[in-house]
Amino acid sequence: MKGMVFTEFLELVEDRFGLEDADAIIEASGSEHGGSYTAVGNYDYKEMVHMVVALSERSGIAIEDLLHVFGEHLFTVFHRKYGNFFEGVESAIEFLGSIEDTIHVEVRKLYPDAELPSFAYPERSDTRLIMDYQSTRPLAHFAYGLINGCVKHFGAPLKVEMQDLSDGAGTHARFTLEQAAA
Amino acid sequence: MSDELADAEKRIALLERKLNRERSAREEAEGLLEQKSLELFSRNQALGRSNAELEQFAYVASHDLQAPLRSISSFSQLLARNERDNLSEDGQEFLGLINESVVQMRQLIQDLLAFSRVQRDEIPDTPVPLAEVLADVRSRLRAAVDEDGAQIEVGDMPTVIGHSGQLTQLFQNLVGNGLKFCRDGVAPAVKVTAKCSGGKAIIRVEDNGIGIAPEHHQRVFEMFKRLHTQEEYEGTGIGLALCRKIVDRHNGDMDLESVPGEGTTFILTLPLA
Repeated sequence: MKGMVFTEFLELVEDRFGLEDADAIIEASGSEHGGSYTAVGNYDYKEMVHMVVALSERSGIAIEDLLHVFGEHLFTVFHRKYGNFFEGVESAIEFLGSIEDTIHVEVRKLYPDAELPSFAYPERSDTRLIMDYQSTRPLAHFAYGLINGCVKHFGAPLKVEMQDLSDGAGTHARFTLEQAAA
Repeated sequence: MSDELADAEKRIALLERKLNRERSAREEAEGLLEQKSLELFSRNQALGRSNAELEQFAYVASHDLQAPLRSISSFSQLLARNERDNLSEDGQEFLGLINESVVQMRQLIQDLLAFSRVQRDEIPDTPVPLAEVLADVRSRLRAAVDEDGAQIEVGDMPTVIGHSGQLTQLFQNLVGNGLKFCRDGVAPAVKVTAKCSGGKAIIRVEDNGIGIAPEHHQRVFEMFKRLHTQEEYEGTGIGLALCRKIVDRHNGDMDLESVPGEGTTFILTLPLA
C-alpha cells in the first residue's frame, strides 16, 4: 500500500485523537518500521489494518466507521494532490464511473506497482450508478468513505448505499448511487 | 506540580518518538530518491542508445531506398517512352500509377532523411537573421505564390540563435502549409510577425486556411499523422513533426491556435541572439 495512505492516516489520527493515541496505535500495531512511514514508500497493508484495529480498540469506534471517515478524508487529499484527474469532470457519477477505465489506468502509469481494487459497473446513467467493488483486501468501508467523499465534493444530492457481498469480509461490495429526490 | 511535570515529560517523550519516526522516514525517502535517480539515469542512457540506433537505422534505410527507387523511376520512364505503343490502355494506366507512386515515395524518403538530419546535425551557436530566412522561404515558394495568387506578409523579424538550414526548413514548412491548406475560393494569405520578450523571440505564422479541429491540435505534430487524404491535399505527414523536432532542437516551444474554416496560427518561441 502506498506510503501516502499511511502518512495521511497518522496525520488524521493525530489531528482528531491526539499525538498520544497516534503513538499508541503505532506501538500496538508492532510495525516493523516503528511507524516511520514516508509518502513515497510502499508498505504492507496489514500494518494499516493493525493500526485501524488498535485505534478501534482504543477509541471504541467501530472499524468500519474509522475506515469510512478515513476514506472521506483521503478523497480530499487526492483531490488536492491530483487535481488534474478532476479537470472537466462535472459530477460524482461521472468521476466514479471513470475510475476503472481512466483513473486506475493513469494511476498505474504513475505507480506501476500499485495494487488497486477493481470496479465493475452493472448499471450506469446520468442519475444512477451501480459500482461493484472487488479486492483482495477487506477495505470496502474505506472505498465507501472515498465514494462518499467524492459525492460530498461535487455537492449534488446523491444517496449512496453499500451492500457487502462477501459475508461481511469487506472484499466484495456493491455501491448504489442514486440522485436523491428533490 | 509533579503531575504537570510528568505530563510534560510524557509529551516530550511522545514528541521525541515522533521526531525519530520522521527522521527515519526522511532517511528512507532520501534512499528511495537516490535509488530512483539511479534507475532514471540508467533508463535515460538506454533510451538514448536506443534512439540513436533508431535514428541511424531511419537514416540508412531512407538513404539506401533512394537507389532502387531511382531504378524504378528510370525504367518506368523508359517503358513510357519506348514501349508506350506496345502497352494496352490498362498497361499505360498502370504505368502512370507507378510513376505517381514513385513521386510520392521520393517525397517520403526526402522528408524522412530531413527528419533524421535534424536529429544528427549539431545546432551551432550562430546568429540567424530571420528576415533573411523568410526572404529565402518566400523565394523558394514563389511558384506556389504565383500559381494561387497567394500573399505572404512578413513583419520585422529578429535574429535568433540556431541552424540556418533547419530554420529555413521550419518556416518553409509552416508557410508552405498555409499556402497548401487553403479554402476553396479564398486566395491563401500567410502573415509572419514577431515580438521579443525575456530573451526569446515569439513568432506567429498565421494563415487563412481550412483550420484544424481542436481534437487534432496536438495530433498534427505526430509523425505520419495526416488529417486529409492524398487526393485532398498531397503530403507525407512528416512536415509538422519535422517542425516540432527543429523547434525542440533549438530549445524552443511550438503551439498552435486554430478555428476550423477560418485559419491556423502557429506560435513559435526561439532563443534570441
